[in-house]
Amino acid sequence: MELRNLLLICFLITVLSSCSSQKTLQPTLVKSETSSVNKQKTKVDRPMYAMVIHAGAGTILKENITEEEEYYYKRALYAALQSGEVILENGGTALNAVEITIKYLEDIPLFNAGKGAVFTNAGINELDASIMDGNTLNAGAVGGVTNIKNPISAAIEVMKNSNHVMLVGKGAEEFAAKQGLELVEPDYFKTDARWESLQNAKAKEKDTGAILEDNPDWKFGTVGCVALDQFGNIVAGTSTGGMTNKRYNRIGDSPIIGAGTYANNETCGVSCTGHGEYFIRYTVAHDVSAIMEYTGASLEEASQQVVMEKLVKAKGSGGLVALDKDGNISMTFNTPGMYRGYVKPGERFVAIYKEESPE
Amino acid sequence: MSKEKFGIAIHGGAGTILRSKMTAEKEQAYRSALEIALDAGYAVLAKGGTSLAAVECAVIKLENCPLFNAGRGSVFNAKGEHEMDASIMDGKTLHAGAVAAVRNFKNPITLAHKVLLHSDHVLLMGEGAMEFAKPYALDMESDEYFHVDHRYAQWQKIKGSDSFQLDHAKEDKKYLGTVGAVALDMDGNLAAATSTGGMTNKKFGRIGDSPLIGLGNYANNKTCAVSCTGSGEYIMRGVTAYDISCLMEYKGLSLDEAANESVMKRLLDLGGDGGVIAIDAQGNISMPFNCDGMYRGMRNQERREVSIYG
Repeated sequence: MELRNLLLICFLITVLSSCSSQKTLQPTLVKSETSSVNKQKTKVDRPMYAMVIHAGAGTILKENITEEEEYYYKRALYAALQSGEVILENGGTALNAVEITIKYLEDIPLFNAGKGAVFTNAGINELDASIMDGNTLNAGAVGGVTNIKNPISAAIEVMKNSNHVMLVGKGAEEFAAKQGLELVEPDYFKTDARWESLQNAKAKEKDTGAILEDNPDWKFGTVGCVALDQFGNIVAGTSTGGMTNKRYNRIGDSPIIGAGTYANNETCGVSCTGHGEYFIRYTVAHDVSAIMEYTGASLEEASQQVVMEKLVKAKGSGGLVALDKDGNISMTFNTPGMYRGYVKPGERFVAIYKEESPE
Repeated sequence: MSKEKFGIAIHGGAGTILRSKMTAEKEQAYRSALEIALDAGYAVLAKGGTSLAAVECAVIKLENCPLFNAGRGSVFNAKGEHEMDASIMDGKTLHAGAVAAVRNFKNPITLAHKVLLHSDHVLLMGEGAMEFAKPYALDMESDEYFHVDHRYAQWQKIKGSDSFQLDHAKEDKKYLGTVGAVALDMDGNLAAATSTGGMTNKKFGRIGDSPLIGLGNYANNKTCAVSCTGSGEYIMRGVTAYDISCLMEYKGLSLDEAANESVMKRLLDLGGDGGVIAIDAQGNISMPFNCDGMYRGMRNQERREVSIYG
């Protein structure tokens, strides 16, 4: 079975990468050297680094996933965390860590981003990604691209090397090519499991419109990562293949700054996953930051208010991962499950279902 | 709060609008175009129409006028085409519709409204949006319709270069275009609409703030309705439209305080130029901008004003 093979390959990659970088899990705390500009702020102990990831939220139920599959998903999440952690613990930047981590999630076929992205109604993979730097509030995003191997890297190029924030379609592909990013044939992204999902969706579809309800397994794929580095900078990134069977060049929340992705060193970094239209209408990522900034709420309070109150009331399903300037982490979702995990010096956690929580 | 209070505000872009470069004739043309749009939107409200209908109506008038960078007067992109963006939001339901990089639609704002009404999605782009529009038989126009001489001249100046400019460019400074409307209707509902042709000589499928809900356009009955114009990239990074709403909702600021904080402080701190028009659920109107001028107007039961300079 195709999925099994893919899982096996992932597993091997994971094992290899974990062998190559054995490390100790020493808790490290650094005194946060708040810059002289903000000298009134009280110094807090924050970890040297922290990073949190998600790989989609939705109807992820234990009874639908075999133990073997669960194992491979968790291994993949661990491996993704590890790839970013190596950078952070060696003094690298949050931007680097987020890029490497998301690239890992894009490159493996398990999640709905990069390779393994879902198919549009027209049978192609249209990818969206965005990145935001909480230090400068710079941002970059691409939407509806079909031949860029790692859309997150394209978003970073837009942020660093263009005067724009968001590029879409053919134009974004042209820009990525000009920047020397790796391009692939569109069938690179194809996996049999996703192709099957499209066929199932089409078969079940009556006439027009989205078919979200018919497609519980791959409801919301999207991957995302937020990292805090030793310099106190927060970066958030998100990458997705969107919705199975999507039409009309629909753009979801993932490439929209403030909706699917937001970062601000003063407050927090956020990456979202879920029913994108609700996340756009509720400007979810920025909302978490605004609630913290304007009401003094904690990261967890702000995330709960947005995901468990506002979105639940609006019937918008999904979740988010976030971390604040002190390294606190929130992984909040109103669906049965969310592929998620975080890492801090001496701490690691990955989970899939709601009932799992850090010890 | 009187339920019957209603009002509308519109803009036709902000930026380097200098008296020295404006002839009396040109100024009069802008003023009357603004008045036409303002009065059309106001008439919808006065008859008891919805704020959604009023903002669409006002923006259609601005799109049909070749003076503004939206609809007919849209700027040329690097390929010599007109790619337009628009968005609309209903403050009562928080439903929204938007389109990006669409071509040949006479009124992109009407297409955005169709997305709001008839699609499960919020944002559609390019060919896909065209496909979506098929059943609605919207007015289409040929490329010639969008060929406006002064826009063509603007493009010819920088065509082939790597530079691009927003409307009303002054040498090295890049500025804006964009039209928008916000309204409060008799039932106390707010709505916001924004439409633009983007930047002259734009490349690479650049999308600005105008079609992005919460960034260039936002409406929420709890707080306010906002339409932005200016250096789009900065407005995006500042999440300006929704931030004004947040400042009111979470910090308890008045509309005027929130709009000023956002435009005169936060946007400036980021290095961004531009302005917003905003109306709250009580009918207060605020129209701050941090550049030389903004084509703007407001009308309620007591006042009717059209202005250009600071």
